[in-house]
Amino acid sequence: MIQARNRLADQLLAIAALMVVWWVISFIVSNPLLPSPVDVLSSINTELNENRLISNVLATLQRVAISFTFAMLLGGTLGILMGAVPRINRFFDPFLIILLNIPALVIIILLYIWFGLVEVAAVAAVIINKLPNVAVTIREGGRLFDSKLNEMANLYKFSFSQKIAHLWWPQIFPYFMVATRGGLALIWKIVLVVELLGRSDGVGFQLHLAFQMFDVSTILAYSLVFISIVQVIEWCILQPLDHKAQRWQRVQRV
Amino acid sequence: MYKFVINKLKFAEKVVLKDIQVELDKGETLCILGPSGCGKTTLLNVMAGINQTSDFSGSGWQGQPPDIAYLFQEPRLLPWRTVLQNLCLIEPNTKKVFELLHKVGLDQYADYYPAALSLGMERRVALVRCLLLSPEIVLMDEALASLDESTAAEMRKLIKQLICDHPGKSLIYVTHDKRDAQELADQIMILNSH
Repeated sequence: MIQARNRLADQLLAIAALMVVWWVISFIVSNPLLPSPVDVLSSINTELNENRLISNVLATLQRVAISFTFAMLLGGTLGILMGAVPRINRFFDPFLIILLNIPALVIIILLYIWFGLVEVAAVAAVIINKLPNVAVTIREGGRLFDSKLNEMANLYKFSFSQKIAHLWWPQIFPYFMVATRGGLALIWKIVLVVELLGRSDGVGFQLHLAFQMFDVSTILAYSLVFISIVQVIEWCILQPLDHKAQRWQRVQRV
Repeated sequence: MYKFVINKLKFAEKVVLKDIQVELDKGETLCILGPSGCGKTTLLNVMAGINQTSDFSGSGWQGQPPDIAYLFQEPRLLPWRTVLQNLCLIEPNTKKVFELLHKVGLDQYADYYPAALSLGMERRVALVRCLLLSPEIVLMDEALASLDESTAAEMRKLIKQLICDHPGKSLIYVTHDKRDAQELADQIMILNSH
């Protein structure tokens, strides 16, 4: 508990230091192209008052949530199968390499051209971009399943659901967390590009409008809000989950 | 009477076991004695049906294969589950689990993770897991290996006591230590290296 508090205090200190450096530089430069933290907070307030901030952030969050869920489900399943069954790995490996090497922008543009500027194309583009990363990460976990524990589970007649919950999931969990963290960070960035290119709402769309006006303050305002949301997800959901799942590794021998 | 027969068992083209016949009665303890690398663990694995990679000829268990529990050399407890959770996966009745944990002196450690226990304690938990399965035959692979003298003596005593408490269960005990064989066995089988 004390360690967690110290970690949070250190992180808040780092953020405060960044704010101070930013404020000092913006004060020295004194140019609207580098607004101060106060200007950015003021822009957040304006966007809030004009009812643009919440609706656009919610639209983006919804796309992130849907894309993340599908990318984790499909990529995770594919990754586990590829890790566990060499033949499936050999078959899908070339597809993964191709998908990993196609620029995100190319997938987004192609889907918009083929299916039009519609929501399904936008979300599908994000899923296709993220899926190979998830599959590759989870595949490594699937490859490292402990065969001796598998033998034990078979001999002691574990049911299939017991194997999933008590044998396989705990082994895949660290890889799942890596994929989740990487996934969130990557997905919301791709969602912004998707919105910028072909949607009429969301943070990406607002950034596009602000870019046309060289309104750096609004650009930073939306970025700051979204980064804060992702950070809150990390602090309130991912870190406690990780901490709980890894507690068996922190025990001391009697 | 249980009977297990291997004519030949090859692993990576090398003959590991040849002309093996294991016979033991209900409630009997058979010690398989032999030097390291002579195929003792392989024989137990084949008996337990977990050696899938070897080329095996022979009738195996004659008749219906018996219910088997296996005390592996490494305890093979799930490290992310507590002692109680590990055991409740085999037997959901916690009262029965605690009874056996009490017998091996570990009822105070039910909420501990395996990483917090010594090797001797982990082996005792694994022994409880074997018994919870209510097997007809318990296979034990070097159950006293890597334990210090006093822990090994304590574990040997415990195994003897559990044999007395469960008279119907047969035990096949693999070791390279003659003293274990002399103290525990009703019959001794010696395996030689090729």
